[in-house]
Amino acid sequence: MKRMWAVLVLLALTLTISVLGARHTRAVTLQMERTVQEAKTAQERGDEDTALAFSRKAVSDWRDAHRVLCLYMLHDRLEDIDQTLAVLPELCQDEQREEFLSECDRSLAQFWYLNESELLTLDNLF
Amino acid sequence: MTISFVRTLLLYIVVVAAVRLMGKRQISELQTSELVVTLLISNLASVPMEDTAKPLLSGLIPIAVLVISEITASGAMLKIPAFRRVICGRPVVVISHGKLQQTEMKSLRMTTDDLCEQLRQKDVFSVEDVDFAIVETNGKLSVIKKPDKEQPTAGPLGVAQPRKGLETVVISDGVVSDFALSLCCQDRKWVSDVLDSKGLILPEVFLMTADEKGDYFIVRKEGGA
Repeated sequence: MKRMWAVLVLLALTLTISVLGARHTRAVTLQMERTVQEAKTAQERGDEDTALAFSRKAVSDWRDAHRVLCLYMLHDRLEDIDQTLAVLPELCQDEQREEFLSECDRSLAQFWYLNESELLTLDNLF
Repeated sequence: MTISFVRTLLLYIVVVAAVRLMGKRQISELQTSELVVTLLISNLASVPMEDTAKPLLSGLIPIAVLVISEITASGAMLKIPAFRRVICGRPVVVISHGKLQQTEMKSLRMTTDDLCEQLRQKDVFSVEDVDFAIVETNGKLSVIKKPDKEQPTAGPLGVAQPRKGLETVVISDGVVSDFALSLCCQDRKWVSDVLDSKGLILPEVFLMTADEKGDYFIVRKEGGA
C-alpha cells in the first residue's frame, strides 16, 4: 500500500513537472518571440534606438529564462539561441540592417522550434 | 568533471531508490517486465551521467515513469490473473509423468542440451529420474523427481527430529541485532548472560548465532577486540 502511495506521489510529480515544463516553455518562447519581433519591426521602420533597446531586452530576458529552461531542455539547443541573440545588439549598433533582420528571423525560428519540441504532438512522438 | 561527479552521485541515489521502490528480487528471479525495466533504468541513468549537455531531468523523468509503470503493472498482475498471464506468460511443463513434452520444448526453443544442463544444476543427472519438470515464468526450471528417486527425508523414515526453530546471527562484528534476537525469541539479557558465562565481552565477538532452543555458536574476533 505504501508503494502505491509512493507511485501516486511520483506520478503527480512527473506529470506536474512535464506540464509545467511545457507551459513554461510556451510562455517564455511567446514572450521572446514578441520581443524579437518588436526589435525586427523597429529596425524595419528605421527606428534603430528602439530596435537596440528591444534586442538588449531580448538578451537579458533570455538570460533569465535560460536558468530555468536548462533544467529540462537540451543545453545545446539553448546555447544556439544564446549565440543568435548575443549578436543582435552588436549588429544593431553597427547598423548592419540586413544581417540584424536575418538573425532576428533565425532566433524566431529557434523559438518556434523550442516551443514545438515540447508539445505533445504525433510528430514529436514518432 | 565536477558536474559529472555530482550527477553520478545523484543518479546513483535515484537508481538505488528506484530499484528499492520496485521491491526486492534477485536478478535471476526477475520477471520479463522487471528485467526490461532494470536494463532500461541503468541505460537511462547513464545518459545524463556521461553527457552534461543533457539536463538531469531527461534521465530522471523516464526513470520515474518506468518505476510508476512497473509498480502499477505488478499491482495489476496481483489483482488480475489474465493480465499477469499476458505479461509473464504461463509456466510450461516440459516433462510430464516422466515423458518429455517435445512440442512444449519446441515452443520454448529449448534444446535437450539446455534441459539437461538445467537438470544438472538441480542435481539431477538423468532425465529418467524426473517425474515433472516445469519452466517457470522467470525462466527457472522446477523439478519433481520420481518417488523412487527422491532422497528419503526424516519424515518418511520415521526419525524424530527436534524442532530447533530459526537460527539467526545475533552478533555480527561486536554489534547485537535486536531484530535477529526477536526472530529467535531471545533478548539482550540472554546474550550478555551467555557472554558472561564464556568470559567474553561484546567487542570480542566476531559472530554469534542462536536459535529458539537457546543453542548458540560463537566465533571470537581474531587479534582481540
